Amino acid sequence: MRILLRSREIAPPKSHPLKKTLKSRKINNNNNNNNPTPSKTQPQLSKDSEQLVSRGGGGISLRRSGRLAKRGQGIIIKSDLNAVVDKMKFQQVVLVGNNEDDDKVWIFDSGNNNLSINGEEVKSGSGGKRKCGGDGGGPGLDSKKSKVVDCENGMLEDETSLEVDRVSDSYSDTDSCKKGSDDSTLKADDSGLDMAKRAKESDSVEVIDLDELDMRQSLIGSTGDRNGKENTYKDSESVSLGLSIGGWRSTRRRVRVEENESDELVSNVRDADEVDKETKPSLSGETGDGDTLETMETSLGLGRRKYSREEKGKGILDLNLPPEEQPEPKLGVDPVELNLFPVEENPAKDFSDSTQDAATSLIQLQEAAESESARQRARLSVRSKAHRRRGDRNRFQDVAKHSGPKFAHFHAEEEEEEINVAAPSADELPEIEDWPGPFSTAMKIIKDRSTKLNGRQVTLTQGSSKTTPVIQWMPSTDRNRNPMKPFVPSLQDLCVSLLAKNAEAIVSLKNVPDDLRNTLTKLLCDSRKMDSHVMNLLVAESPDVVRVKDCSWMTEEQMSKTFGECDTSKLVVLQLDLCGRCLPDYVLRATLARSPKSLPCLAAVSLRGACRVTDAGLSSLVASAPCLRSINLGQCSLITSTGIDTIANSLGLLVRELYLDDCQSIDVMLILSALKKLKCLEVLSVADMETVCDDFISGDFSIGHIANGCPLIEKLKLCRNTLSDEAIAAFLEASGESLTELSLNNIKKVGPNTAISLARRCTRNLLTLDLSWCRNLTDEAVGYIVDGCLSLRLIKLFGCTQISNAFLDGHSNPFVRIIGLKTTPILEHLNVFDPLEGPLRYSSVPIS
Amino acid sequence: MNKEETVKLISAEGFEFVIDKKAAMVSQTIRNMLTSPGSFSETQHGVVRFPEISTTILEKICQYFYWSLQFTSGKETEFHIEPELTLELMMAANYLHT
Repeated sequence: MRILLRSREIAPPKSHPLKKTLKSRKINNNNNNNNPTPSKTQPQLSKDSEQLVSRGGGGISLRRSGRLAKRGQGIIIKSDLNAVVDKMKFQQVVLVGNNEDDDKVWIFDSGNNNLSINGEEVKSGSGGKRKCGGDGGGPGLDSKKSKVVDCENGMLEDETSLEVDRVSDSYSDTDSCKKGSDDSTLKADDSGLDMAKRAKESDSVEVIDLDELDMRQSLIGSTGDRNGKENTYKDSESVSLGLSIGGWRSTRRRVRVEENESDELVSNVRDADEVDKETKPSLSGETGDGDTLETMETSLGLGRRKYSREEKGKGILDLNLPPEEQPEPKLGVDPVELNLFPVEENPAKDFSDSTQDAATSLIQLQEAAESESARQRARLSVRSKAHRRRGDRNRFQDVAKHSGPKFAHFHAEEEEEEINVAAPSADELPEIEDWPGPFSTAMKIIKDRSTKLNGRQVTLTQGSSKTTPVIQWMPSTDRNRNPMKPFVPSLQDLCVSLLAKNAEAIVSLKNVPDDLRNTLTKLLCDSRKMDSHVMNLLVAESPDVVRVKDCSWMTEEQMSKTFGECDTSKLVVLQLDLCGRCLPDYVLRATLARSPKSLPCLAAVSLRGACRVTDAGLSSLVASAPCLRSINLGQCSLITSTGIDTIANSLGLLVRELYLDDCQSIDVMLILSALKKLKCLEVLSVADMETVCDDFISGDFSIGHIANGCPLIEKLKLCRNTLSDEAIAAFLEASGESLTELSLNNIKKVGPNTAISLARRCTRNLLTLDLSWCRNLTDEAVGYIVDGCLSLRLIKLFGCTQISNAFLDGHSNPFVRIIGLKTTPILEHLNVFDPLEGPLRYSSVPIS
Repeated sequence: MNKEETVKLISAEGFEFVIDKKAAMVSQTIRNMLTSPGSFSETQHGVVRFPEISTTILEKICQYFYWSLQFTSGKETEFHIEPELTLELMMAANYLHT
């Protein structure tokens, strides 16, 4: 027995004698005199199978009770079509389930005010006859565009009942038809479906009310994908009756299950302006969870307690108001909050915002007065399919988790709250500089900029207390973009690939220039074909440059053997990234750092990922390599600030590049003094270090200091930390001019201030800019940056899905390559730049 | 092939390869040699010498030029390279910036 249910309570004008109870009330089905004309009769409730209750007075209100439905009980439909609801009539379909033997499908077409049962029209009210069920019904339903609420029962489980199938078909049709229509579809129908299904098993008829909020949610949700439905439940407004929510959800879930994951339930809700409905939370006991069940039971009371509208927490949904301004329902009782979906509320809310916008029809709900007594509820005893529901629930939770962020809007203020930056107050920390350096001056300017603009503009961000400067940038409409030419593989690339494929056949790499070697090893590492044979080739005969970007394959023995025999006297650049496995301190001492003179020429060293190297090993390395100018110690988790002090003490005047990405044991605040000693620092990378915060960058400390003391900094990586927009902007103002590469990857707060500073200060030198995952940037901001930074060649925008084609098509920088947005080919950026990355890219030390 | 549209590439052993200018331009190095505003003898006579590149390699390079033109015009085939040539060919290609 299927039940398609749509319940929308429009205006329950008066109480119905045939109120539902939890008990079995079956709605009389078929071709009898249940003409649920909206304003007229009430179909009688017969006790045996289905009952369709329609209330006069104009609205159709349907209650859903999944449990009842489940039991095969009828669903009493209250249909109160508002007189106002004229064109926009709901079409409500209620399928009342009943015992197996009596499968009937009731479809009430509110638009036409007729009820069709089992595909035949029972009666047509105001409109013409319309077949709801059957194939005719589908398109027929559709024809009434705006108001048709279709139940989708395509998802109904395989029922043998013809009617249901027919209806299913029709609904599937309508569903597909609906997709063409621009009306919002009410996904709430799931619950109807649920009901239907449940009715199959349940014994009692339930009157199903959908809380209007729920309905709205579901309506809203319906426009999104089905997954979005889950999210709508989380809307805080629908907390009014937790159980209702739960019930609602559960019905949905239930429906899902039975849908066999086919189509969505679609119900089209016609334009709400005229539709006035109230829906109540379904009290169906679909919730498999015991808690919901109990809450439902308890709050409902078993039996027929009627709640006032206030108690039910119904509110009025005014379609003309944005969701935030909807009048909140006042709750007489405490809402029971069911946290069935651990999805953030805000994403759901935003989701509902967005979908509501997309929805063309919304329900308008009437005032409480009407609904007070009009509600009928059926209380159902819950029959839980706990297991199935739980499974569903988990599934839906996953779905919600996945789809929620899809619709979530970025809330800047949320993010800020979440990030607990334990920034020491300025008072506590000793003043290092007494005089305002360029950084603090710049900081002030940025702040003033914000306050100036504050007076002039209205901030649009929700609830944001900060005002952000608005960037005026219009995308240009000039459409002269060069078409893409087919990419011809160069001969060099072809050869290198061939060599990489047959690396074992290479006998010698003598005379091969270093950059070709590097390309080859890079390719080998990427394709995981690097081995000690090639390694030996690389280190043979006193190489100048050994760059292996992935040494994870190497064992300690191999390392000892290879580098034990290697003549490192001419080694200028050594890169052994990801050498954690093979390079503990003792191997380091045995090979590279074997004597204080073992690395006399070494200018650049990269030991990224050397997770077994400690401060002691580092100091022995530093002792052996007196000319070091570039040190990359990314991800060396054992290095602490002591190691950095060692570097600073012995190499303070030489070190130009220092990479300390993701060194977990380093607290950047502690290395400030060491950093100050590095007078020639050109490159500092403190990406991914949690301790980098505004104070690190602020006027008195560190990078602020670097801004003041190392004005020539060329490459800066400040990724994934909590720096604020103003701080970065101020830093750029102060020292950004010499920057050639800047990475602000995943610094969430990057925003317009940074954009403005970038465009103003970094015009001449900035070559690459990484703004991936900076979701606060708008099209205007990025366009402004790109048009302003004339030397910009590469901008990375991974994860910035908020950037649209307006930027892509509209920016006027002909040379810049944009990678990371979904319209740009993702691997082309690998061909963009010189593959020589890493140490000493910018310094004057030549890499041969 | 008129004279105006061809260039001559001379290998280390003295072999002369006469190819279309358009094909030779695939190599950035040759292109710069031939189109630079300075008065290179290459520009004037349309002859480029490669004393470090052996004949077999240079021949292969010329084949690559034509293959590349073909590729850009749409016909995308595979360019086969004999393994023993690969290392040298790579170095020559690196030099010729092709």
